[in-house]
Amino acid sequence: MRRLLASIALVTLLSPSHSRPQVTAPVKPDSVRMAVIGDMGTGETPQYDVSRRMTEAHAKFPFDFVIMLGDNIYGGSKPKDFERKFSIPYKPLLDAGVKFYASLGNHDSTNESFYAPFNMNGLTYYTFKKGNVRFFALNSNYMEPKQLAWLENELKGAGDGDWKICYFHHPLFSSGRMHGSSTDLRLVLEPLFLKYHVDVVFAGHDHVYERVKPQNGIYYFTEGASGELRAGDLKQSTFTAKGFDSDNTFMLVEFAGNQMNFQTISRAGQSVDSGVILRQMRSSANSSPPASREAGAQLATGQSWAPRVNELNQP
Amino acid sequence: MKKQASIKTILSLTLLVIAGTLTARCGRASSQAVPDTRGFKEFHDRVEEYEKLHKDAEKSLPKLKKKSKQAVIAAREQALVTKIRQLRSNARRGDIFTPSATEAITRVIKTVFAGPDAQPVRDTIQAGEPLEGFEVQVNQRYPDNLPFTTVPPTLLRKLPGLPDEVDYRILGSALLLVDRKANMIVDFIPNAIP
Repeated sequence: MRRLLASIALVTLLSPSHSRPQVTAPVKPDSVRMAVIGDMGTGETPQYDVSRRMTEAHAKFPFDFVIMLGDNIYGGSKPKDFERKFSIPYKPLLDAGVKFYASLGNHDSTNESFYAPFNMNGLTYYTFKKGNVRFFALNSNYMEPKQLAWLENELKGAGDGDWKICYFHHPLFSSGRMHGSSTDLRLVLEPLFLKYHVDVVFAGHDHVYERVKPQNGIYYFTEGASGELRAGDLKQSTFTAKGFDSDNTFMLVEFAGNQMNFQTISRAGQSVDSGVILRQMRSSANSSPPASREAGAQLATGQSWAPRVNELNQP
Repeated sequence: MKKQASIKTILSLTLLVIAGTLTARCGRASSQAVPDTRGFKEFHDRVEEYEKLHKDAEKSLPKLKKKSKQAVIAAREQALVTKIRQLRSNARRGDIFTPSATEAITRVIKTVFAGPDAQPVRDTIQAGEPLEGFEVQVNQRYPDNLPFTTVPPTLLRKLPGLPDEVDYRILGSALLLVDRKANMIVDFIPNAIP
């Protein structure tokens, strides 16, 4: 009987639902390390499961902060909503000093921008820097001319030395059936991203995970399954590089020099996507991007960086 | 000779008809432009009045820190709603979106929906989650459990600019003016969105 119980316990521990995530990122000294979550604020079991996986991953991949892609709190703005849907599930990370930087989704009250743990400082769009990575958190619910002017000014002022990462709620490229690509938003944002050499864009809204093939040299990720999930929602698309819609997910990202390692981990602890994006030297800010970003580029003085992906550890 | 005279007469009459038509069209266009200008001016003035009212309401309350607890944020939002309602207890639909303003703004919206970017604008609004069973009223809070429909940036570019205190919002086919911090409907145009 004891042997039987021990065997059952061993099998249970080794089963996918209890396997700890294998982290593929190198965890280099002085790297910028973050997690990415979107559409998480349900307060239900999947969100808590994902947050546990994040805590487990943090033990091996000590990320310093998390970027939140919107829909941070569903269905209410009472204090108990914020406890059940944020401060309780992420308590181990908050206690470990991990900071959260939120953007607003279509289910979020504008006043979330004042909520201290979201680090928005009363702003619905803002920028911050970690190491050699500059982040731009945008409000895609309300992309007014004033926000666009601010973004252009900030992107221009950031120059080309650092990584430029934009994140917001509504994806510019998405194969999700429920929402799909936000084409009107793309009309106003993509030209700015191209002009000022944004490297990577993260968004949520569609409750799936998707990595998009580079669009004019820019890499797009949808991570909208960190609490919510729309199973089977991804449709066939010419721009999908990798999609996953059968379980909840979160991402781990590490920036080290001109290299960005990413890994997407499921609620079950499995690695569903991973890769490396390399920044390469590009031509000056005012010139058009090269025709192919997949080809290698020569390093030259006075030029700036462009991203190229190497896919690793494909499941 | 008689034939030449009749041709001249026909040509003269034709020219007169053309001139008359052009004059009438220009008259219509210029009279249309005047209401739009007046409508936008009225809207601007009324929004400015509301902006002042909002600021007066905020001044009467403790300042909200940029990093606050949710209990404090929620309480302040409710207090702001109460104060604004007191200051504009007789507010009615059309106080800000006056008839002239409504005409001018709906004309702008129709132009956007007839323009080259109409499809992405339409797609953005239709991609919003279903919003049924909600009756819009002035001074009403926007319900917590109701998601936002993204206001298409192409449309936002064409609408009159607003101060920081208020935003446009779309709910069904209505265009709303919403107090951002109070999360409260200030005025609206029903059936504004085609």
